[in-house]
Amino acid sequence: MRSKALDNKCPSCGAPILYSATTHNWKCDYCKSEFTLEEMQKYNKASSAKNNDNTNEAKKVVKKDNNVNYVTYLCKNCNAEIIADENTASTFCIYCGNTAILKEKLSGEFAPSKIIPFKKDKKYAVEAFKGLKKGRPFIPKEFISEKNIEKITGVYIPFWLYSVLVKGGLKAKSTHVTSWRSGDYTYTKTDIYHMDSFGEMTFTRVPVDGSTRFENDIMNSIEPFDYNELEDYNHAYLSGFLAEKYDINSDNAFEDANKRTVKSTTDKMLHDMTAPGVKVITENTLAANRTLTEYVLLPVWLVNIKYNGKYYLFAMNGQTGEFVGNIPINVTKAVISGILMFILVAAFIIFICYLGFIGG
Amino acid sequence: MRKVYRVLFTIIIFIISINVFASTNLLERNEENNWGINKSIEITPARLNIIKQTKYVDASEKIYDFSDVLTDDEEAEIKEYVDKFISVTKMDLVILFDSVPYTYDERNAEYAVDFYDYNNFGIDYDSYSGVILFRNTYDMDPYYGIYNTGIAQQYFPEERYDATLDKIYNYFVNRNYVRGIKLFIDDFINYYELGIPDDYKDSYLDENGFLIVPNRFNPPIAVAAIISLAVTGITMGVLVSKNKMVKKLNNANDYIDANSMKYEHKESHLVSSNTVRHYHPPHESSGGGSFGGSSHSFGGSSGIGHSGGGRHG
Repeated sequence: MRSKALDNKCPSCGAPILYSATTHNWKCDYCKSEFTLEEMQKYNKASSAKNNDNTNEAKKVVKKDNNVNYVTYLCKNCNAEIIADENTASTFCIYCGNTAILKEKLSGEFAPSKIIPFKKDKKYAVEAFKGLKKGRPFIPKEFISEKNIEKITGVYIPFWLYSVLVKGGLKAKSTHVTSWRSGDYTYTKTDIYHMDSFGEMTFTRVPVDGSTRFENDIMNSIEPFDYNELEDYNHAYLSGFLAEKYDINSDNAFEDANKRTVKSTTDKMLHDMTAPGVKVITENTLAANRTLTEYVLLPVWLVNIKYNGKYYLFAMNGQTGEFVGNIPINVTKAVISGILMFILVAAFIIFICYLGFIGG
Repeated sequence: MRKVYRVLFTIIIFIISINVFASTNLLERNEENNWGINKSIEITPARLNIIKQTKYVDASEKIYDFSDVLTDDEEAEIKEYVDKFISVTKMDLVILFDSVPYTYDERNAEYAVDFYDYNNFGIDYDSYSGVILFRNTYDMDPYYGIYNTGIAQQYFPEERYDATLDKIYNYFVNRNYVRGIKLFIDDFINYYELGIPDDYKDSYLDENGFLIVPNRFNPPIAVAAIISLAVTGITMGVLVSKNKMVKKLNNANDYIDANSMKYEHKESHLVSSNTVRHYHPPHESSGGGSFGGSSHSFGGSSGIGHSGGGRHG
């Protein structure tokens, strides 16, 4: 079956229109018109019947290659074939550059309830990526090249947000040793305390990335997002960006939130235990329960760079601008710098000693 | 008649036996001969007292056996070695045997260098250069020492004279002086031929003949290497860690609802308390030890610089 991809068109001239992260409006590059969300919604509502019909009638072809299912769609703008994998929810037509929103990937059980629109545009992301050079002398020169910078892409990543209640008991033991001297004797006092607490703590919107494509550590490192800027989901926000649908369901993804919330509650309860000394947990019955699960799309700028045969993924929080990723080390540069530094520091110390020597 | 011959024979043997031991002639110090001082030593009243107490001898004899422990033959044998030393090194050499009631190293040293300074030893050489070997035969605390004057301090520094003092120890303890003195002279000639040791190459004598060894800068390579390694390691660690921006997040602290922690119960109680005591006996004071060794130079009462050391035994 082949389906037609959905796009956002300029209500004024009908050309493809993109969401602007800086103005938070939709701007047409052809007629220079700019539209608000309300205006876009009004226009889309009027044309939705036609779009829906087209989508329903369209054919989708599923191909299998190396155990990965690829799906082809027809570009709404030029009718060319768009190839995407099964998890891609929004992509680009390589022929006309039009954003192709694969509506069926974002509907039904895959329909996000909320979205945080991009606040940082590509220019900002590019500058932030270039800024990684600052204070990092061992970054390979060719790593931050224009060729690599151009690959920066805005992607809406599927996230599960869990509101969690952690409840249970925690028992711990602490040993406190004090020592003092009196006359010819040393006294050592060892106090042993038992602590027993039972309580609960709540968490709101703990994010867990719902896609296996992205490493959890990287996605965790760009946290937190400001949820005050969560908007009701609208396809229009996807214009100009890639989007993914989740491939880890909410039950499986919760495992990560479970661990994190129980750990935070355990730390808090241990901290609140007033007995002195090093505390050792003897029993922990804390358990996390979901009180609310939301499926949202969160904005991330991504760039995947190949260096020395290895891929390095960098991500920037599209809302806050927090950039993370592990930068490879130019080993030759690092070794030479280390040797030079060793020699210079040693020479400096000897020189200072010599000055002290001749100064008497 | 036989009786007369026997008596004469006994007298001759007695006379001969007396002459076997070398005699040492003492000269008289008086104002006319400037108290026997021909060196550029200022004769102060305090110094004059010491000069008067110092034996005045003929400086050409070189061997002065006030303890009468050497025979004439032995003296002659030693004299040959002494002459050889003087000829090779162009420095004076004095062998002094005496019995003085000194038990401290310093007093023995002062006695030996005063004997050297207030006689005409080394007078023909720069800075009165020469060596005196002093054997104090005092029964209560026998002692022997080697003391250098002038450039002898550069050629025979502590490391060298200490080694020689150790080498001749057994000979002196066993009163085998000839062998001990010959070994000492051989050693010193050998040292002279080796030249001034590297550590003393930059040394010089000041106007009073004190040996000045300029301090050398010994770069603290090991310390510098350790500090440098630590500084480099920390700096490199910080710089490399800057490239690692991905952090493992294992908590959800950013998402805790404010004041949401509620306790149904929270208890903490002391279950045991145990106190033990250990007895620490007072530390015995470890009394200060004495530190041996010689400075590069010490001054005798004459104000001339010397170096040297000795051994009891």
